[in-house]
Amino acid sequence: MTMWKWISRQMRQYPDQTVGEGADSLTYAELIWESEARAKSPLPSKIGICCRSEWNTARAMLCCLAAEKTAVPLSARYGELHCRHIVETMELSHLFTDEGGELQLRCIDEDRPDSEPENLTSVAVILCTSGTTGLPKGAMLTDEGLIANLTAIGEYFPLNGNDRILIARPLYHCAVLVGEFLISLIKGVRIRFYGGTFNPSALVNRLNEEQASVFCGTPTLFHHLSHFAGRGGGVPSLRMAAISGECLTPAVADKLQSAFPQTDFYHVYGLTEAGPRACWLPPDEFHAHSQSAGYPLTGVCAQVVDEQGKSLPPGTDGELVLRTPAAMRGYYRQPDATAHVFRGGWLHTGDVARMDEAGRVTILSRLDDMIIRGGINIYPQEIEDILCAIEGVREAAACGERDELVGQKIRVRVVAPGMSAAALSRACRDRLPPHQWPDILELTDSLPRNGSGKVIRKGGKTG
Amino acid sequence: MDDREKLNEIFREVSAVEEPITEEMDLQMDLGWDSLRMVEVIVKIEETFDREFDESDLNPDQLQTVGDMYRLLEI
Repeated sequence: MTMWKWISRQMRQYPDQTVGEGADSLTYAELIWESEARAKSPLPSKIGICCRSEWNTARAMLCCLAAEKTAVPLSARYGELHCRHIVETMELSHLFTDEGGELQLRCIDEDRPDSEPENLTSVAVILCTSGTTGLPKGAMLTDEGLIANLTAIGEYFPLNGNDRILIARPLYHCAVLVGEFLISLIKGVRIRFYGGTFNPSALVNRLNEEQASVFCGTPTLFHHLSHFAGRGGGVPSLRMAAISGECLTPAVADKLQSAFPQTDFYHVYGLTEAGPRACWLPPDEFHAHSQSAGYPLTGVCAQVVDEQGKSLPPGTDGELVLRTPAAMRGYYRQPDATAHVFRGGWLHTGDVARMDEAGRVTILSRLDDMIIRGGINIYPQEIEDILCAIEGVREAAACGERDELVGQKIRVRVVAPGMSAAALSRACRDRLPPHQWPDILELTDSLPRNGSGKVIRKGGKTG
Repeated sequence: MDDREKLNEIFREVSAVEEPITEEMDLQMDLGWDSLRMVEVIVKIEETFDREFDESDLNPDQLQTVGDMYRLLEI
């Protein structure tokens, strides 16, 4: 069954429920009609989506599903270079945009041939993730995988037609697209998108104005909300909250429970390649086990393995591997990268984890050098490639440093003889997208190297 | 340490700048604050100065320079 047939069938049970942003909203019935009407136009096999408004992104996404064409969301927040990479790597000829306020389909490359080299049958969406090479990889998620994941999420996350969700993060992220937007549609939830700039004080007020009962975010976001909750507008009366995206410390978990005493907190875990949701922690275990991401979803198998792929006993640290019906089909036109991630029949997450005797998974760190700052994944290679292209910069090394508030901060060491700290700092602002701006920027004479001459990203000061 | 110095200390904690902080510095282009870092700074300021700002105080259009932050705190 296609995603559209399945999702529209669920939506038809709630024809008068609404979705929108600000004063602009549609009923579910109107949204189905609009999506199916747009889907009748001639459309290419895959379409990029790059809109300023997440509400327009949502409408474009549903049009793609209705037309059974593959959607490829982009996000301008990650910078022009990142978007250009996606357009090139995904070989996009058309984009849904909302320049001027109206959603429209634009041709961006008339010379791109119509033929599609990859098999996109039943591929509903391609979601791009960065990687150790710094170039985006497109994870192909199928109709069948998305239906399996949404069904499994629906089993533990008891949304219903009386719920009201405020979505504050971009649909570019799998957790938001699947775990907030699509799951809300199939459960008949009133959906509103928060279109403002990132301002936790304003977000708290909006949660109260919308009488939101459900909100999802990273530990960093909830930490900020807890700081601003309880002022003039009152504490948002959230029934449920899902937390994911980075490690949750006991101190932050305690703060959240104090700030939102009426809220059921669900600590969840997933990755785009897994479709995305893999584990969940029941709210009645949040207080005792807040650091754990909980148990595998229905249909998901999880193991912690050593470097040879051998399963490890409870309490031992190793790499988390998964088997899930929601796993991606593979990376778009990257069979080697796909083969590297799927080994021995398991999806290798790249996360270091531990499983306890009860089967709860706790994520501890990353196997690679990926930095997670405020819930955003950042690959050092991307930062280093951009900095090394600056005239005067000889080499650069980026790494994460633990931080109580945002999980990790970005530390960059640069060898740039003759360049001043001020000039380097300004060059970083000019060239890097905001989420990659270093928190700590050091000019140094040389970078630390291991015995074979490879730069060591983490580590102490250098000479 | 006077209040401006205390505030400058917070700015240095959140920014990757080594030169002296001046009033004219742009929060985004000179101190490298994106929206997430701005919130980190506001939280630290509230904790350090025992203040609470409301939504209208934190309009990003009115908080663009170090001088704007001094005026927010009236220091």
